[in-house]
Amino acid sequence: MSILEVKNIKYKYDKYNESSKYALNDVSFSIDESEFTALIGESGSGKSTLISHLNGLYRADSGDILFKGKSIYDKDFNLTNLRFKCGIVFQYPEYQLFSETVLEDVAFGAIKKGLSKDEAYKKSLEVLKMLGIDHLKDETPFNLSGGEKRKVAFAGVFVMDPDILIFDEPDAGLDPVSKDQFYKLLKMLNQKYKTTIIYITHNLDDVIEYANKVIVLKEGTVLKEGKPYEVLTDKEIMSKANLDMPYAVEIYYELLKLGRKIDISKLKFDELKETLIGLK
Amino acid sequence: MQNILVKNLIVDFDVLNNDGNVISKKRAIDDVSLTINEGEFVCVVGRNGSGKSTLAKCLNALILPSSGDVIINGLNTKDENNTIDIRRQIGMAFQNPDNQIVASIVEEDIAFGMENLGISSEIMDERIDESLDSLGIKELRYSLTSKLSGGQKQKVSIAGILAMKSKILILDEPTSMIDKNGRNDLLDRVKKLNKEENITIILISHYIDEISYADRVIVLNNGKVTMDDTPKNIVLRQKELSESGIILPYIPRLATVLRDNGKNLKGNEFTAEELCQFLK
Repeated sequence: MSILEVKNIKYKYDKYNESSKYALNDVSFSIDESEFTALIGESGSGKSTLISHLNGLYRADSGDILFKGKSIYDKDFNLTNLRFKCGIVFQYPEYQLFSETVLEDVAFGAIKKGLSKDEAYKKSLEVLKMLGIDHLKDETPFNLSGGEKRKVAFAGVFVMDPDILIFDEPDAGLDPVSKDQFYKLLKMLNQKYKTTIIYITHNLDDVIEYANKVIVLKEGTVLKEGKPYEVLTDKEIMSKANLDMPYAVEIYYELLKLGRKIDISKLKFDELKETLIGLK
Repeated sequence: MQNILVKNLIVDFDVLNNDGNVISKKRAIDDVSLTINEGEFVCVVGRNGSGKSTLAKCLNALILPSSGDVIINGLNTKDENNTIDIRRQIGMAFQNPDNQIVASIVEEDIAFGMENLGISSEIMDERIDESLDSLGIKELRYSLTSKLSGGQKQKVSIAGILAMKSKILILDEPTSMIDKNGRNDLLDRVKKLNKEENITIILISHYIDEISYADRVIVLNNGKVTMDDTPKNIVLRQKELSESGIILPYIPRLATVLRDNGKNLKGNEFTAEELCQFLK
């Protein structure tokens, strides 16, 4: 069942200028519950504008967005509630930390959501444990490393029990080891708690590894959506979107050049490795 | 003809408590010594908090040594009288170009640095064209800086440094905001500047794939230089790399696994084409 449906939305920043371009121009797609979706496209293609629509931060000029079948633009629709259900973690979330201790910072949203202080702290501590950073609970967030800060910011969103987690380039500025840990964590949340995940990224090799759906944007329109291997191996779409193919796809085509056709749906690192080991 | 000489560099930061009092010291750079010669293309890698950015800031006297020396073309950064000369010779492009762009029109932004050097307007005019051309963005000369994409902004900030005729260019994670396509394009341009104009490049990165552009890779871990080698050699030292918290780039990682499974590969292949050689 689809948890989120985006129907023909249009949005322009400069509304009073007729000749200005639409940042989103007739965008439609739907996201199923517990899907892990990557949103890709070159800089300026509308990715960040799009996610700001998904919890009603921006209001589309036309079109509709349905959350669990109900239009978020309905008069009776509870937008505040939506923002607890649909948490967005923006780029460089560490800049939005503000409390004196990590635990206080994480609990802030939960208290706003209506939990008592005790409950909120208890829950926050659980989330910190799950992320493996409960030893930091009494530290000031500002002395932490970049990766730790990001986990704290993320904990603050996750403590609100969102149905959908949305990230704007969660891995920007993280080193490969922290990045790997972060995606494994997302995958775990996605599988164990059925949390729907939508994230913006430039790193297409990780899309093959972790996502089960990709949406490609170009100048505010959806060029293609589908399974990672279907989209990322589509030469025409990728060149239209101005995106370089991930390494796994480069290898796929290099093998094809040598007359070796391998299973296109098996391009994850371990799958590709097995296939290549089997080639004589 | 030595460009950069770092001798037993130590940098300590104060750790403050919530009242702003110094409670301890944190060692960010721990006894680093190295020489970078004119015309080298060096890539500095390391996990978050390894001291990469601190080292870079020591080179252009934004941070002064707690002990040891940093000498740029014979000028010691410790001597305040040298600071302006050193910053003329070393241009630095920061991670986020928004922190660096000051003017509303591209050409004005590029002129800003030159104005501070007292360069005549005719020469300025020429150099603006030249520097934009060398980065392939001549058409952006009269564009609004606020309308540029992340990758374009990054190029504009580099063009501003080139226009000042800096002989050393430090790029602090210049590609963290742009997609792979834009990354490759930017780094191709930087490589060209390095080869054709003999500009020394120091690229700080944690996209480990980017090491293939460099002649030399320096690995930092906990403020110490743990490895200093060519890209082709360094990827063969996998155990040491992982001790420094570095994961091999995609293709060398795959090549290594295949080599260990008896395929005819060295493990330091960097392109899909090189990787697929084992089938021939």
